[in-house]
Amino acid sequence: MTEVPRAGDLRTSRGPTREAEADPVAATRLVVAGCNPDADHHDTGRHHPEQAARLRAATAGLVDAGLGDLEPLPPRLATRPELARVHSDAYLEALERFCAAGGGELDPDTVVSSGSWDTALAAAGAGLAAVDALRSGAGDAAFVAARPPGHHAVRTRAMGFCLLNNVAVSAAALAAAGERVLIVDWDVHHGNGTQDIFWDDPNVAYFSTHQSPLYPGTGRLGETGGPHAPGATVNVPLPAGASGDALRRALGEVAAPLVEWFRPTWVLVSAGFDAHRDDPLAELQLTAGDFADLARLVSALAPERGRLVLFLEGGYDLDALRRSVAATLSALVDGDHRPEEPSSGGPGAGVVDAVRDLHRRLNEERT
Amino acid sequence: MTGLCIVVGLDGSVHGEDAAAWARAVASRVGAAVVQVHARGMIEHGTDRRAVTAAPIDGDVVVEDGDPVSVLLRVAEERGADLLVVGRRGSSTDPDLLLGSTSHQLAERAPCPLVIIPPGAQLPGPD
Repeated sequence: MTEVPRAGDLRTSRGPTREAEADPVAATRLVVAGCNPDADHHDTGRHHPEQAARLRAATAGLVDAGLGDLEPLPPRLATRPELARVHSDAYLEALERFCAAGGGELDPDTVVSSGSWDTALAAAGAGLAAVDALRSGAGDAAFVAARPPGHHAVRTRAMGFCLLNNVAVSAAALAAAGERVLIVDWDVHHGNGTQDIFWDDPNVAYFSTHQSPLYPGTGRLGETGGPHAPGATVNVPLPAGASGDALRRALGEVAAPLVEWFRPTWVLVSAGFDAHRDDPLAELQLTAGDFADLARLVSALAPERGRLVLFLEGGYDLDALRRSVAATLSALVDGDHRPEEPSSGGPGAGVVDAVRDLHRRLNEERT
Repeated sequence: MTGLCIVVGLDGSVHGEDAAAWARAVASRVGAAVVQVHARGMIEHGTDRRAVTAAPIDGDVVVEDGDPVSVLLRVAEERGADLLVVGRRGSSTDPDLLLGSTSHQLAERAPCPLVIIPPGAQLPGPD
């Protein structure tokens, strides 16, 4: 297992890379939020794949990318009104109460402890802090390294390791401020919670690549959005074994046309790293190098600098997570840290063709 | 399929097995086919599909990766189910009851009649 530096070691463990030193002025300014394993009190037990060590691995990836000297934004908790945009009051109250009573299993995958509620509030709050920082001009892109992840959490229920839907809380805050938000979800699992929450919302589009069939069983090609948002939900369900080629093509040939008609003013990314070939919970074949490509592609989808926020979702092999986060963040700041070559080949091309053609037809019907 | 079809959810617990026993007992009386469905969770993915219940299962068993609600709804639709049967855990401290249960969501979305078997339910009698 990789030796993972703790948060306190960040400043001294490694300096910036040579390319970051060479031209710091022109480089993309990255804002980071969360990144605080010491404040993580969401205890899932010793053998759970979604564990606090993931945050240490992600934070180590930040260091590997030469960004270890970045000061994370001050922590802040999401407020009840901010959460209530995407979750029911009854659910929020029940979850808070259940955690306060000591926690336990919510379903066979999802476990909470007494500290989970505050940790989840901080995770959702970290996304909001990142959005606020970019709005005030503090940076060009942001990375939110927090847990628990969020994209499976639906309006009324936790599921699939997720308690509060972090990316949805931020997207809803932006939409409430009159912005148009595109959520790109490259986690290997379909973000059923995010899709459900914005299913019929004309101001928030949802684009997901994921392995299928796989948990949670949603995200089929024909799921394209509600009557007020036709075509604003895009699903690319890829077969096991698909490589980075399928995701690159999906972003280039399906997400790019979506951006052309939807015209988002912000792009939020559910950046899970469990599509990595080493991940124990799925069978896609991506490498760290692929995630660097994906980071560049989503940067190009954002309408301007300062309108891109990446949220950590899944990723359960700690070494793969560390390498993938490092490659992603390096790509965001125009660095070239690629610990693994991109993957290519494999199945899935036909699915990308089918999704592209379906949404082209939907687009023609809309206009 | 021409005969009646009962789809029942197995969740690896005694409640799922109670529901399956009830479904089989009813099926034998009305001559229905039983499809037993197990939704495999995120962690369970990749584990042995025979390990879905403690008791041995015979008959038609479907094991799919997914959330129980999505998987049960999809199988019920695909098989043209006439009846959907699920178990319910019972205690008042159960997070299922506190935080929105599978059976509650199915009640809102099931494409056919839904039967919820409470803990300790009797099997249907001999006549």
